[in-house]
Amino acid sequence: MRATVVLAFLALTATPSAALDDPLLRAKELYEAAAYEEALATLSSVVGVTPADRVHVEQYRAFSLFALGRLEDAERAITSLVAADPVYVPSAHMASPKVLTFFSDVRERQLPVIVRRLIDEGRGAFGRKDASRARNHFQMALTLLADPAMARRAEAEDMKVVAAAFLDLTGVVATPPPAPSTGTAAPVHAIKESVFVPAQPIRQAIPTWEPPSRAYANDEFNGAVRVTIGADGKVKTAVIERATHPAYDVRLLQAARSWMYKPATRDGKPVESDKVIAVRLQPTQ
Amino acid sequence: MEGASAAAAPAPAPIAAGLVSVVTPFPLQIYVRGRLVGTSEIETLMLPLGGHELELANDTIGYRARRSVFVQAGRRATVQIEPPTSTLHVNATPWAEVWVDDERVGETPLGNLQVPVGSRDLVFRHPELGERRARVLVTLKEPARISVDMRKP
Repeated sequence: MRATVVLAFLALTATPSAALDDPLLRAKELYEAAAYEEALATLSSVVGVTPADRVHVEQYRAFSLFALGRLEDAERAITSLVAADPVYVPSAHMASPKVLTFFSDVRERQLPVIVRRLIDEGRGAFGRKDASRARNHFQMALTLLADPAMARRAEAEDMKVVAAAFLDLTGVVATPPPAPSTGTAAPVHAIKESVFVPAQPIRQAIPTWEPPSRAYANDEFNGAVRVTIGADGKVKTAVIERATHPAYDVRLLQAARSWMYKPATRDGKPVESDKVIAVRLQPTQ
Repeated sequence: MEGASAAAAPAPAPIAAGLVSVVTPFPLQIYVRGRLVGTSEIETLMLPLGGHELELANDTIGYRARRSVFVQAGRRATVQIEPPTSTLHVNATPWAEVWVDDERVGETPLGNLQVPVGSRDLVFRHPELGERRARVLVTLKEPARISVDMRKP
């Protein structure tokens, strides 16, 4: 009985396909093979995924549902994807025009909801004196408001004004100007006159993209890493702002922590600042 | 008597059989009472006069049906088979416009297409990657699937 168990185990582990170990990769293969129901079943079994994987899970779920004509379910999957990464858009190289149009329509409906939530949460963080969190929310809101899908909307301009105004305030909160000798609060016009110069890269090498398997060699990934640069120009923290492939994100974070900058300045004094660096991983085949 | 006997010799018995044609877009085996009597690829079957129930089968595509036919002397009975439809899923990497038997069915991914059973000819077209052709056997047993990698020659 023991020998039987061991042999069965060896048979399983000897299977060459990496997809058996990676349900996301397996689901992708099933989708590409037009096995849409099977792809959906496999995606349902994916648990404990990273935010980056969540995007791909929802993407292949949406594509499979779209193929089967289950458009309401497909819309729900895209909504989840957009919530996980509102900046993500499938590459024009990986989906047909009708799929991209469907995706864009759903995303365009979701973006205003997300931007409003970002602004509300940013204001909440600002109220709690959590300037860093508030700044992240307002910067993301402004990023989304610059997206062509949002720029067309009537309410975008108002939201942009609000987000930009709060972002200015978070900068002041993060690096308050010296208090005047009289002890009174700084007048509002003093805030507006402060001069902020963003950090400039001295060393910012982006790792090369080497797909972990051929299955990813034809995919394009668009991601971004956010670095917090100290007043000394060193990177204090690095976080994935927009995920690419998990294997690459790890290397990107490792590299980002060694980058060096000429620090940002406010009124000529070095200050801590954030910077978002976008990366685009193009197909290698 | 011999002469009279010779004159009374019976005429040859009339052929008590008639002709049957089975017109079908996919090959069928034809049975009568469980006995194989021919296939649809033979243009004409000869069956005894009278009523018959034909059992038509193609195990490859999972098709089985019965048709009644009445065979008359000097006439050809025709049995016309309309092919049932079944499900076809189609995909292409990265994507393609698809035609099934010269009819455009849309852009991939395509699922739950209802097409007649049998061999179907597909054309995949991508604006930059060109055209690929493929054939798929659609059966009643299970949904058929076909996918093409447009990046490969």
